[in-house]
Amino acid sequence: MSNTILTRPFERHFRRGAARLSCAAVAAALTVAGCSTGGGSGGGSGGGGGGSDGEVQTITTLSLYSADSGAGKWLESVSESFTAATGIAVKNEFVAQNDLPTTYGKQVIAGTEPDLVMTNLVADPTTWLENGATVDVAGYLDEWGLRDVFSDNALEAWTNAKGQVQAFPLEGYNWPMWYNMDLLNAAGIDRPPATWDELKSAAVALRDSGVQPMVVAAADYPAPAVVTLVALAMMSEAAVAELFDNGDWAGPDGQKIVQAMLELKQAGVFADDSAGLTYPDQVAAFGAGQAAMLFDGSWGYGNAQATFPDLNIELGGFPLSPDCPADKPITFAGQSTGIWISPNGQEKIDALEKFITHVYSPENLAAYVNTGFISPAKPGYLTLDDTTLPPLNVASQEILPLQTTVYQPTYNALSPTVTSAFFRASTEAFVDGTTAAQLTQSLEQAWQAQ
Amino acid sequence: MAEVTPALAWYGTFMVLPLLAMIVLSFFTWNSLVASPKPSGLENYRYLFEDEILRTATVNTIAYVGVGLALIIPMAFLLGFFLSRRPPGHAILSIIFFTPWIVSASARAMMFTGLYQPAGAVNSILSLVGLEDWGRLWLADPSTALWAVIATEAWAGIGSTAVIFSAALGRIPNEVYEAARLDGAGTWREIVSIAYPMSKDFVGLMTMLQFLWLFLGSAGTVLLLTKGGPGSNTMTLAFYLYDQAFISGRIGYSQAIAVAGLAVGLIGMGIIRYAFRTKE
Repeated sequence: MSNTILTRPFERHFRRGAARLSCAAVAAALTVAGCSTGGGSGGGSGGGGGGSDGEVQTITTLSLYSADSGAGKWLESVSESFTAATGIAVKNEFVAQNDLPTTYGKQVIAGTEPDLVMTNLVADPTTWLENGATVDVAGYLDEWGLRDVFSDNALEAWTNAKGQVQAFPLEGYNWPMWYNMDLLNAAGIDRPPATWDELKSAAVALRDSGVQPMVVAAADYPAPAVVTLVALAMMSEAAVAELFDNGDWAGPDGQKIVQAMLELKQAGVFADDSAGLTYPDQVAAFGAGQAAMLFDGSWGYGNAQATFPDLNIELGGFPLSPDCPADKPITFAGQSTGIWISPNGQEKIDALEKFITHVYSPENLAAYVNTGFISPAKPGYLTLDDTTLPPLNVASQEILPLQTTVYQPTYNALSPTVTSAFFRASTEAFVDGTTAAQLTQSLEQAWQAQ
Repeated sequence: MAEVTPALAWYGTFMVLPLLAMIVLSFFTWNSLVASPKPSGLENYRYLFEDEILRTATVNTIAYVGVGLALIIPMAFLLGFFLSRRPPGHAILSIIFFTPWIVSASARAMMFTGLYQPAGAVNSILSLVGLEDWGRLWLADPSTALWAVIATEAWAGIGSTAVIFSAALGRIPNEVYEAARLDGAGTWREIVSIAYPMSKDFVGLMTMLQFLWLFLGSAGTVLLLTKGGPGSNTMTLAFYLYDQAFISGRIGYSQAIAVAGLAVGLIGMGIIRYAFRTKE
């Protein structure tokens, strides 16, 4: 074990102590308000493990999965096999994704956080490592021989500007356009639209044939995703990143996007009532053949196989505007869930090494990926069964890297103070009658606190 | 003194200290639960005056509380008067009127989400009666979203408040009404000249409770129905406080909003108390 790692428990105790003193200085009443200053030393107390590494009886996890989901069942299964092999119990706690950051934050303050936390690198978790709520796993990647497990893209996505690796990548994703070719063909369209002119023509043809064009759950998280997608179909990734950094929606680039959203809306590209739909609504509408186009991620492949396996779906990218510097339609891809090590977990690092290496063994990681997820591993590390994977999952990994321009969703880099307001503002782009001034004002407001 | 010491200690520990903590935290920048709070003086309060979303939330809150009270209190009072006269079936009516109050906020939100959704009951009924042009995305349309949320509060508030009013109005002696009727008073005169004056202090109390419920409780209703959107069209002060504390990670600033909200709440209560003051 490196010297750096040996000093981390002291460092984290110091940091936690400082945080507690700050809390105490703020007000003794924080014991009531949830910021407990009266917890124990925290040393080795987290998660019920206790003692030195050699005495660890239990590893605790907190994850965004639901217990009855495929991922949740996989985690329980991997935990059981680990316990059978080592005698160390694994206690898994499942929390809804929206609640997880607050749950974990309270546990960190109280010194009772679980040893491992599994969630995405968005919003509050982006602050965890810098605040000492989780630890840099870069050293463990090398010590445990895991660096060669992961693809370069996966590791890059989890590495911050200081070169620290924030978590072990567990789940990748891709996020393409879904085209119902039967509906497109019935409307006289023989291939997915590649340009905005084709997209607008397709919208007219589809509506004439009694089908809604592109269904968007604009009352849910797809709204900002589609706004970002449209932006990336118009201008370079760097230009979009700059706009998302400065929030100058009243400026030339911002106005281009605002006008484009309204133009596409007025051209009938987005399904009627999109502004009132949630994610399940959009999937149901597409699955029922009410809409011909959908922007949905790899997390939907398993459900598609289960609920509408007979649809003739072709995956592809979002069409390009005439000025777009990219030469192929746009899709998103990136990393979602990772496995983070907490300060409490670091105190039983030898046990965690056994568990993490167990999770990332080829057979266990393959079992995870085979439930329908996109692998974070290097090609060749896993032996996957293409006959059990959802067909769209397999097709997406063959087609999208070759036929589309793949970006990471630019809005993932937004600070937590902007994210929720951007989500709300994006909905307005899909509301009938929204003016450019109204949309611009909402977007500018979203960035005001940055 | 010794007798009240435990009560004072309990009150001080669980009521006053959290309040003080809220005020103290409002002078800190604390941008994540896992981060250390940093003193920032009056910065959070300065930003209150620059925050455009807060401005929208304030206007929305005034509309939310104002329209909510204007709908709930008069309607509830009239219904309460009706119930207090013990019409046939008044016991069953009381149960029906009170039912919305005991429906959980989540269940109520699910019900109204179903009513308001694009193919929901409201749009379907409008289509059935030939008013399909009036159909809209009630929770997603900026021109209707706030009113749609207020309507859910009114639905929950009118009936239950009416039942409480009926209990208070039922204490007014029947002889008073009979005497008025002998003098030729009609129902409206009984309400205006007897029922309201004789229960004015109680109406004031219920108005204050409804004010607090609408002002502070809007966070839950807005969270479940619209999350403040579209844009900031249904943002209220209470929900904005929640959003800043738990979604946007600006805990210190959320406490400044809470302090401002406390001040607004106290002023509102003062106004209501003044409006419903009674001469001794």
